[in-house]
Amino acid sequence: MGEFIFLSLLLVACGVLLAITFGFPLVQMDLSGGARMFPQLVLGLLIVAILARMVIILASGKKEPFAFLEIFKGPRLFFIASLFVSIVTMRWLGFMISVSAFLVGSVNFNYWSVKGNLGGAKAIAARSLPMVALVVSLYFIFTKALTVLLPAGFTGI
Amino acid sequence: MEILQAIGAVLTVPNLVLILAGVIVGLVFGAIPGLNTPIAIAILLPFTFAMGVVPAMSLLLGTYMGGVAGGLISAILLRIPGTAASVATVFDGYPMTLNGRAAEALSMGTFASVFGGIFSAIALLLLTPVLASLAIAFGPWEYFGTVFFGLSLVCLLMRGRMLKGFIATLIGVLIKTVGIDPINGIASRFTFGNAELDAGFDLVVVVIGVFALPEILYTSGKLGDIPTPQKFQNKWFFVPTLRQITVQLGNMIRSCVIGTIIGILPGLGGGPAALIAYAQAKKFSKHPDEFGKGCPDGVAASESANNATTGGALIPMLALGVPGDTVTAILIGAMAIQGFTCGPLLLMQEPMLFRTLIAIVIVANIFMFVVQASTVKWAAKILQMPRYFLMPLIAVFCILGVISVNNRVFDLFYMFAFILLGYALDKNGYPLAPLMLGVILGGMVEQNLRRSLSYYGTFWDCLKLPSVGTLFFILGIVFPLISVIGNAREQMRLRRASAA
Repeated sequence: MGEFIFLSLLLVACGVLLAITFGFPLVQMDLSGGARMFPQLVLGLLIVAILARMVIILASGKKEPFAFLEIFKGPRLFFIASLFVSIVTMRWLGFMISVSAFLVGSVNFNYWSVKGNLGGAKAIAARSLPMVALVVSLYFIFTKALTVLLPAGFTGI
Repeated sequence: MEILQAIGAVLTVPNLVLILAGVIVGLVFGAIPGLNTPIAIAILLPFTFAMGVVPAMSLLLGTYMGGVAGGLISAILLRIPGTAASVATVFDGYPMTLNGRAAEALSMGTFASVFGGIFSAIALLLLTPVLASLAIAFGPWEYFGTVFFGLSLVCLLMRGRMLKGFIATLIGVLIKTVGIDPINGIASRFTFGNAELDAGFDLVVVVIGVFALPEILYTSGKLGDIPTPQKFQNKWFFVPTLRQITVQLGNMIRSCVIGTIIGILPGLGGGPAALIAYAQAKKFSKHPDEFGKGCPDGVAASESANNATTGGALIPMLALGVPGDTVTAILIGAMAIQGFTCGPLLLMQEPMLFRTLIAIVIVANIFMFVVQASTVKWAAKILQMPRYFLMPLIAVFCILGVISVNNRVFDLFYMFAFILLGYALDKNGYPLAPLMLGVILGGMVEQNLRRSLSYYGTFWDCLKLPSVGTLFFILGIVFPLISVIGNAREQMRLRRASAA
């Protein structure tokens, strides 16, 4: 049923996008079929294909687990959640702080999930400090040598 | 004989050092997702202002050759295509790593890269005037037909999963429709009023979101599993055996021809070339079922084709002064800074310079091969790092790569959406290769279709044109139909066999 739920969500999204295409402005001088022609063609084909796949799933009667849900369990949940928090906070905290926090948090969490303990304070520091040093180095390499604009955040660095 | 003279002119210590430096910089930029060859060349360009034309082009062409080949390391070892050109390398390169054959995949990929690069350099030498006129004869309808045919080859990548592959392809094409309408430049499509989406989704961000991070996410859930041990011989230079090369020779030559032709056509580049060559390799293979599960043929096809585009892309650049992509546009600029204008006059007035440039391409490819083949063992050390450390570290490089593309944090948000999409598709058995082909070719299909409609009137008017475009369009319809029928027959045969 997992795939059926996924396809249902996809179908709804396609329906909404198809409705949106009717709002694309038509330009009189544009003789190419207009901005809406190609997306409507693709969405139409996609809706037909999704419906066909849904019929096949229903006809087969197979009940498979919703594999996607494993993303919300254990270390995967921690990874995806910490990545999301890191991305969301990056504009305010800056690249160095948010990515350092993500890296230190993930490495130590992963270590704990594999080994069952974090080790002593020294072990945590030995894992974390090189991570922070690495992020700081990357920040300066990318901003100074490669002229990439990484978010500085409130610290302004 | 003149080419030997040209090679002799390149073989001076300063030129060789510059080519080597360029190759190393290119390899590094190609291997890190988000960083790419245009960035590397743009950074190095100011250093060439005080040089002569040969040293300057040695540095820049070395970077170009290294950049295209560099993507294979991260594609094979980590499932992260450093560039779009390496996407097809992932399909079999990474499964080979999972099967403990990383060294074999890397050495085959490296050899295929140099084979493709040198093949295209020879094509550049022999065919430049002829192929350049071919490129200029291509109008929008011919482009549409070619790209549509390329897209239809996707059916070869989804044996047994035709409908799922079709859905994935259409999702890829749909992804490419986001942003300002490429033809009228007025309508803003699926941007929801967000100006940051006006330029659409960047290909590198989609690749990282769909391929790299879902794999890291998946691996995060099984960090305790012991990775497959890799078989590495105790040697410092990794090359495929003569037998492995002989087996792949036909496959590599076919892929090089595809890569060179696609390289000539402006705007296509290494990504489509590698995917189309991969699909063709699967079609002509005696063991197509092994593709996607760790088949060296897939790595050889992808890497030889994407490197063959480098020489192909230089053909219209040198013969016509037409840049096919960002890199060749910068190279034309670099030549202009040196006082040389690319175009038909260059071939007539500076034949020695033309041959010297080809010699640089050949030498750069040899250097790229030596550097990559001798660093295979070091590159593979990545796999020996503890996974609890490696996975978050790769994620950080992905974040850096995504921000580097447009210098903005916004791209990370839609990258996150693509992680979820990629994970959901992968876990439900939808092939990701067709999705990437859709993303890479979708925009070109729409633009050239609509340009054709503007130019010729209706679609029927286009179809009536006696051109290569019409031929390719018909092939693009017939080809998937044959695949669907073949697939249905195979399914029926399997059902009958299981019933018996």
